[in-house]
Amino acid sequence: MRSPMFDIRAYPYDEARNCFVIAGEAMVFHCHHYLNYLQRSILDADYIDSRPFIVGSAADAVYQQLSELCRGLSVDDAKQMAAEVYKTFGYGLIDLGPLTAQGGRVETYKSFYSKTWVMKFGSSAKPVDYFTTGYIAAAYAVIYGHSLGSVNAAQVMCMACGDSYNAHEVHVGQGNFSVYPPKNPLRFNDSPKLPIGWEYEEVVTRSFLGAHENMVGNEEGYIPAFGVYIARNLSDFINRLQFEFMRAMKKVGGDYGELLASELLLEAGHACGFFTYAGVMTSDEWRTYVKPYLKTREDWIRGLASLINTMGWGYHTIVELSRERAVFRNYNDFEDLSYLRMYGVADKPVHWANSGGFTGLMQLIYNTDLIHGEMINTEEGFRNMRRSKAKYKTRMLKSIACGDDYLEAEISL
Amino acid sequence: MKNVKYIFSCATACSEAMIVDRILVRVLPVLMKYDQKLTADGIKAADEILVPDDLYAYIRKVAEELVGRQCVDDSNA
Repeated sequence: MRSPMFDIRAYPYDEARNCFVIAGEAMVFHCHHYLNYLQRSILDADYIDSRPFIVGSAADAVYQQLSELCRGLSVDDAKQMAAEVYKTFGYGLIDLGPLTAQGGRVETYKSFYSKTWVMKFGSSAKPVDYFTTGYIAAAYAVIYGHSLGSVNAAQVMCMACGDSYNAHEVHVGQGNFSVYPPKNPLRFNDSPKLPIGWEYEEVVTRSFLGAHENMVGNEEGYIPAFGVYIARNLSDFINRLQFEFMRAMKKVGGDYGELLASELLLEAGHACGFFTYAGVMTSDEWRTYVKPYLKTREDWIRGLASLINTMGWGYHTIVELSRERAVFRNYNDFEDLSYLRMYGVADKPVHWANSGGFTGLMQLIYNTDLIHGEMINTEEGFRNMRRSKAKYKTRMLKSIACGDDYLEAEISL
Repeated sequence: MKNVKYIFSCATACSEAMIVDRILVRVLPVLMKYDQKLTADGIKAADEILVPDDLYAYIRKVAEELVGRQCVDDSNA
């Protein structure tokens, strides 16, 4: 048996910037609710040819990362490395053994996207594992020294469509997904942070530092945690999906197109906040390490911010907080940092996932009885919460991509 | 002209919370053709939304496709 090639513990968590970088690519967790909602929102706009940018966003980010991780490795070792990274990140299992320099067919039986799409939406008429198509295309290009633009890749079978396994075919030929120009270096904003201002912040944060290392794919390549499936995403992949979708919608409908797209992107973040944060706040870990310090509803929000600052999403903090209105900040959020890296300065805020997540958190704490133990993180619970009369509105006030020192969002009734 | 408000109300009643936004995203190019800029908030606030028959039929078709059931509209019969 070959010894493992990829160990996530070899990469230190950056406590000063609250981020986690592997081979030049920032990594961010997202739950299956967020990832599938985002993908479905993009696919809903069926007049946009979105497949090239969904596959291309994955291929570009993966190509950058695997180029570094596989440098100097033999073909067999590079295949093993790519398969281990894929599994560790929670995308399932792949065996790149059948690939040759001419291409080949990769069949997979464990796929995060195909499995969780069905869990959330039921079966699909079309294949849904675009990420894996992009991943295999990038791995193929890296391992055999092809340029990404010369790779043709497609998913031809999908378990979400009722097939018994997924199949992806890849070969050199006419490229059929988007290829992007080189990215800027990842640049952080090191301006002074406003602390959460809660006496237990440090003790909670310390309790969870390093816990992210335990969130790695199991024997099936999945990461079930807090009642959801999570995947460790390349930030530039997942955020490019948002940015390319917005650009395409603007092209079709101008500011109006952007507005419609923005609502769905916020909703994806909202779903993520609702399901994942609810799962976190009903977990054994929360009960053990956080709940003893919580006296008020506001403490639940401060406790959650203290915890998630160990997960690589930047530094979340709170400027104002009441049932009626809250202002949240995030220093070094990866929607902004990825935007700056890939597109440069933005003319308006770009942090829909963060802002939607804050909104979901406010709904959870003030519009449900979660803090008294009510289990509400079901699809029905989400629908009921979204139909409640007390609806929070989200305003994105500041954005690092616009030149501000931090992201800032206002959530109000 | 037909009142499309009922279609959105029907979809909202029997589907997910953001179904109106999903329908609007799906029909965006046709809305642009008719110079209509409907929003979920605007639809909720309006008593009626009159649109050309063709646009009404298209929105209804898309709504029924996304919701997975018929949106019967007696008022426009």
